[in-house]
Order: sequence, then C-alpha cells, then structure tokens
Amino acid sequence: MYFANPWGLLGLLALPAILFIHLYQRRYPPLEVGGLHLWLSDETVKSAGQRRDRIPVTRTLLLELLAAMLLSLLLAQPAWNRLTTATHLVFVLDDSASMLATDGTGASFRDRAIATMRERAAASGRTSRVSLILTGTRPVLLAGPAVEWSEAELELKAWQPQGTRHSFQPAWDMATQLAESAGELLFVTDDVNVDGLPENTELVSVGQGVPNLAFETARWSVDPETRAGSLYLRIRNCSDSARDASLIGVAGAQEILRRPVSLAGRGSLPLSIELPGGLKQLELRIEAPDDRLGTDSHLTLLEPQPRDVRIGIDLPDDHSARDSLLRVFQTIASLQFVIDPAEADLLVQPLVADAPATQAGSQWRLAIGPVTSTSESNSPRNTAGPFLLDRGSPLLDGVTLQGILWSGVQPLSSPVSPLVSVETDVLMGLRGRGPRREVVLNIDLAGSNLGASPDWPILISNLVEACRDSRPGPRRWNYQVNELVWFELDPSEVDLAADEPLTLRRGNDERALVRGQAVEVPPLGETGVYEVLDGERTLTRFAVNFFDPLESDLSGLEGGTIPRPEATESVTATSDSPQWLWPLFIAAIGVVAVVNWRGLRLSKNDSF
Amino acid sequence: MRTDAEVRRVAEQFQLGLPRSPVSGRAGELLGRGAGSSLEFQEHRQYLPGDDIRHLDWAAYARTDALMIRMYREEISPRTQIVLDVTRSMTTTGEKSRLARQLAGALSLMAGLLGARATVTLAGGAVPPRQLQGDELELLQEMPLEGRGDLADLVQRGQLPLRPRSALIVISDFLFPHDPVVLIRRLGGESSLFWVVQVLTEWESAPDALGGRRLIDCESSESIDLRVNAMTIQRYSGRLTALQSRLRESVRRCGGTFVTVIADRGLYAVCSDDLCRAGILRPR
Repeated sequence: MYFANPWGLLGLLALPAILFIHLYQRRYPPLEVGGLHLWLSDETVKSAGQRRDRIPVTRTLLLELLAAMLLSLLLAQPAWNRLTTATHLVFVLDDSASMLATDGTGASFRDRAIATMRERAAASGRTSRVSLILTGTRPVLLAGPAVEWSEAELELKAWQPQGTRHSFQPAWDMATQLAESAGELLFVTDDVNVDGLPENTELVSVGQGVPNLAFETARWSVDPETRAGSLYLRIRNCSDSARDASLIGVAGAQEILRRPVSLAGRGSLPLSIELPGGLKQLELRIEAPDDRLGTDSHLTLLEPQPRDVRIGIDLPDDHSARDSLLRVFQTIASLQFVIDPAEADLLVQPLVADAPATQAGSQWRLAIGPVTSTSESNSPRNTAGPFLLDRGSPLLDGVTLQGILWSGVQPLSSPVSPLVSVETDVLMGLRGRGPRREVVLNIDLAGSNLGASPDWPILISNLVEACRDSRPGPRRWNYQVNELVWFELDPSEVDLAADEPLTLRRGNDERALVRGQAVEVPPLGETGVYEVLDGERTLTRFAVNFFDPLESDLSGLEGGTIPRPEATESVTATSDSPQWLWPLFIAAIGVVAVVNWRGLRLSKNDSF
Repeated sequence: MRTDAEVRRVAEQFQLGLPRSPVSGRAGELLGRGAGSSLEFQEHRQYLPGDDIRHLDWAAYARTDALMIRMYREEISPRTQIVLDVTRSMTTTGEKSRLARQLAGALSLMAGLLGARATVTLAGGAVPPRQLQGDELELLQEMPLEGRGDLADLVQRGQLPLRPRSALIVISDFLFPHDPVVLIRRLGGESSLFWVVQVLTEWESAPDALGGRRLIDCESSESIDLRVNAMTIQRYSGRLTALQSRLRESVRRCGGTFVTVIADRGLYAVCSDDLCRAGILRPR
C-alpha cells in the first residue's frame, strides 16, 4: 500500500491531540451533589489541566481515535497498486522556435504545452511516470526515462524552444523505443497538420494562427580599406495584412538606427544600411504590435574582421597564366600582394613536372603550367574532355568545364591526387599531404580557353577562399542556428598540446571543445554570442541567430487533437485505489460518529 | 405551612410520638421526664436537705423510720426545637427541599397541637441562626434554602442556640464533612427528647450509574470529574452506610432516634411509614 497524498497522514497528529484532550480536557456533564466528600475515591479525576493521570481507555476515546485514523487515511488516499503498473507517458515536445509564439493573452504555446502535459500527467494518476523528448535532428531526452512529473517539470522550466523547422521522425522513433508496449505517446506541437504521425501517437496541437514579422537575412560586410560597414537585411511579413514596424539597431548602449518600415501582406522588404566601422556588436530588433514571435525579430550581429589573403606570385613575367591570374585576383576582395614569397598565404609558382612533393606548412601553393621539367620533357597534349571532376572538393564548387579546351597536358612524375582528369591524365590535382597542399594546374593557358571562361574566376576564387578559410581564426562571425562552425587556431598563439579542452561559453552556459588546430563546433541550436576560450583568454567570438522563413510563418498554425486510434485499448495502470474505498471510509467514519454520539447520549447507562 | 394541604393532612392524622417517659419543659399537659408537681406518683427517694417537706411521705416514715420523699411526675408543656438544615445541599432536588420544609412545618404543627411551643431554627444560613415561631413558620414555604454554612461548624462554635431539656428534632441530610459522634453529642446531649431525621433523595440514597460526570458540591462549589459507575457507587454507598451507622449509633447513645427518609416518596409516605415506624410519629 502507498499513499497518493502523504500529506494527509498529517491528520494522524489528531491522535495525540485527542489523547491530550482526554488527559487534560475532559468535560463531563455537571451534576450538583451534596456530600462530595463521599464520592472522593481512586476514580476521581481532577479538574482540567491540573494533573496528568493514566489515560482512561473509554469507549469514546477509542471511537474518536478510530475516527481520526480513518479520516487521516481518507485524506492520504491510500492505494494498493504497485508502482510497476504506473502509466508511462512519453511526451514528444516540439522544440521548434514557433512554440515560443504567444497568443492574444500573452501566454506562449510553450506554456500551453506544459499545461497540457501537466494535465495529462495528473489525469494519469500520481503514480504515473513521464519521459520528455525534444524534437530535433538529434532528439534530446529532456527528462526521463520514466521519471515523476515534478522532476520533468523542473527540466521544463528552463526549456526555451529555438529550433528551426525540422523533421519530427527521429523524436517519434526515440519515443516509440522508450514507450515500448506499455507507454502512452503524446506529441505536443503547435500545428495539428503534421504528416507521418505514428499510429500509436496522440497529437495535441496547442498552436493557433498568429501574425509575425521576421528577419529573413542579415549580412554585415566591412570594407577592408575604409572599415565602413554595410548591412543587408530582409524583413518578412508572415501575415496576410500589411503591417508597420520599427527597425531598431543598438550598438553598446547607443541606438544607432531607428527606421520605420512598412510591409505588405506576405511581403518581404530588403534593406541596405550603411554602418560606421568599429561597432563591434550590433543588436537589431523589429518592433511591431502584433509580432507574436520574438526569436526571429531579434538579431545579434558581430562586426566582421578583415581576413586578407596575402598573395605571392612567383611567375616569370612572360608566363601564360600571369595575366589571367592577376585579372581574377584584382576582382577578389581582401587580398594583399606580397613580394617576399615566404610571407604569402598563397604562392603561385610554375609547375615543375618532376618536382618532389613539398611540405607546404601553412602556405598554400598554386603550381600552374605550362609544365617545365628538369629531365627530358614529353610532348604536351590538348583535350576537350570529357573531364572527370571530383565534386567533393570545394575547389571545384561551381566549376563545370563546359566547352573548355584544356591544352598543354603533360605527364606528372610526382604523385598527385586528381581533381580534374581525362583518362589517365591529371589536369588538376593536389600534391602533398595535410590540409594545406599544393594545387597543381597541368595546363598551358596560352593554348586553352579556360582563362577566358566563367570557370576560371570561379576556380581561382575557390582556391583563394579555401586559403582564406584555412587561415587561423574564424571564417565568419555570424552564423545561423544549427550551422556548423569551424575555424583554425594559430599554433603560434595557442598551445595545441595542452591537456585542457577549450571552452565554449554563452552567457553562463559552458561546454568543452576538443583542442586542436582545427576546431569544430557542433551545430548550435541556441541564439546568442558565443566565446571560445583557452583558459581565461578569449580566442574568438561569433554570433548565432535564428533565420528560418518556414518556421517564422505562424499564420498557418492550427490547434486541435488527433487521438490515438487504439486509445481505448491502451495499456494503462488501473486506478490508484478501488472505487469502493472512499465510500467505505466515509461510511466507517459515519458509523464511528453515530456510535460515539449514541455512546455519549446513553452515557447515563455507561457501566465502564 | 398551614396552607400546605399535605402538611395539614399529616398533622391531622399523626401526632408526635412523645414517650410516656418524662420529658422536660414548662408545666403543661405532657408529663415530664423528671419529678414534678403533678398528681401522678412516680417513686420514693431519700430525703435530702432542701427538699420540699410537703412531699415527705409521713406514712413511709412511720413504717420504715426513714424520711422518704414522694416523687411525682412532672407535668410539662415541652419546648420543641426543630433544627432545619437550610444549606444548599438540601436543594439538590425540589422534592428534597420541599420535604424538609414540610417535615419542619408538620412537626411544628403537631407540637403546637400538643400545646408545645415549637421553634424552627434555620441552621446553616445566617449567623446567628434565624428562629421561626408561630406565624413565622409560614415563611418556611417560601424561604430559599441556600445557606452555605455548615451545621457541624455551627454547633462546634456554639452558634446554634440549643435549649437544654427540650425536645430536639434535627432535619438534615448530614452530607457534609463531620464527625458524627461529636456532632450528635453536642446536638442532643442536653435534650430531653432527641430525634434526628436524615433527608436524602432517592439517588443520594441509592445512586445509579451515570457515566462520566463532573460532580459539583453545591455548598463548597468544589468539583471532581468522576465516572459514576458500579464501582464508585459501591464505594459511595459504603461510605454513606458507614455515616448513617455512626449517626444512628451516636443518636442512640443520646437516647434519641435516627431515621433516614427518602424525599422522593413524599411527605405522607415518609410520615406514615418511616417516621411512624421509628416512633417519631404515631397515628392519632
């Protein structure tokens, strides 16, 4: 037996109270007599509160104690079920940001969802156990498995859904696994129109269609020369009616931007805003009366830092590729040309066919033909394809080589990993090992149309950006939620051999990062400014913001319930206590009260 | 009390059971206990100096050569003093207080019918005790019995005016702490006729079980919580019986009569049964 309401056992405190009353506060009916001294005997009880005697075991005392015990048991709600028969409620909780939207009363869908789960847990009895699963690409077991609702509710207090639109299937699969055959699955979301809901899952939608304004895009770029910033924004009205709003930008404690904006129904408004340099951090927000979701109406942007790539060109003046390269380099931003090849991040050199693989160190190299050789050279050949491209290489992103005549192809004696090849000939490849390698272009641009094709600037630009990305420090400063953040550390500044992991900090939240030259931060689902720390030293900062046009559109949300088809056959625990228990208790208390009353009434005949 | 039909009825049907033996009192219709001047010869005794020589039996002197005095029974009109306990214990029930008043009234009426002057002394109330005579006896009917005094204490302090050689009738429940031997000796030691009537209610005489009760002494207001059950009743009855035995013994030693009457039975039944049986009354 257990008690569903153990506080009811406090009623047992009435037992000593009754004993105390019978000890000290007995109130017998008065009877005037003459010759009181003739009655004085061992059975005499002194007046109230004067002396403690042995407790007289009277019928009234026993009945009152019995009534108090029955009443306490009644309040404590005794039950005889074993806990193993408790209902296991598996709640799958939509963790998308739209759950933070509010209705007209100010209550958020999140609050509604918690209330729904609380009611469901209460309806399943105090012995029920719950598991909480947050949806997402990687579902999270927020509470459980099979914990008491009070414990789960503590976890829910800190729950702030910020996820972008995602599939619920992984969470459903996890829930089904947790529920096994005896649990009840309940999917709590903000839209009843869900595809692929498992048959054994009940759906409760706590959402409703509400208007919303959201940032769709934000890009902050800085002119490397003037350091002036340029902010490109796009704001979307996710409702059918036109809305007026205010765009407000704050840097530090200073408001640097306040602009009224008008958005047509379902309209999108692009904005380009010039910003002064040196702001470091900018807070942007949209203020509108009916903006029901704050997550996508607020941005925190960090000012991008220049990441110039130093280019060294170690080519003869009459090299066929020199002009083509310079023409492309001049169109790419944030490049510096250096004379000393040792200072270059990307060094362009002539291609030597039988040159041994070199240790590039931190330097990227582009070896470009026509091939020269220290030994006897073979005759070059031209080819128009078909070209075999390694699409997995970022260097070939956007490169098609359509209609390209590739000339000056010669055999390469040193091992080269092919990126572009024709039959057995390697036209473009990587030589050497490690993240930074020598890019080989086995070509003679004097006889090829590649330098004049659209593929050429793309190819060179990819190479420059790959070089830029490999430089120490972050590639970008502003990311979207769930976007992979990757950057490299400068070995000259960070002890890569240290044992302590790096720290990723957001406000008061911290997590460890694996220390290495390349640091990869797993997708972050929470917006805000993150810092990467080596001990107490800040290595870099970046911001994560919410952009998801699909998730920001709240107009189509719809509340409702989809019950389980086999709800009546669900395996649940029996009721906490037999139905006849309460009437039995009440009847017993009534009988005791009547017997006690009659006993007191007929006490004249009491012959104790 | 003459207005009380029950009292009148009793007074008409019964008379005081005064003994044939002499009692003391002023010269009257009743024969006294001592020698007197009546015509009824009582006995002889030797002459002592100072005796009335008119009572010398010269014939006996002639026969025996000894001076003998002829003793005649004294004719008296007896002084009758009725001591009525007026403490609150006499009011535990209406029957008890009424019977006590009726008894006092009836006995005083009967004494009056014999030519005796009856005085009802109210003991336990005001000090000195109030005494009712003649028409004042009518006040008995309305007089509240709410004295908080104590008959034993009154007697011990000599505040109860007892006339020697009078007929003394004490009406009380004697349910107050006292030593019966001392009390009775002081009460009836000098009386010529001594009757003690203990008035109790039926429950006081033979209580039944009431369960838990707060017993409050109606005189001292002291209280005790008590379960009135068979055991406590047995102990109470034992103490009451012992009290009555000692009262009876003490009264007998004083030449008196002790009787317990139950108020619930009513005046007539008490008089016709209990008091007649005890010899205090007899039918006319």
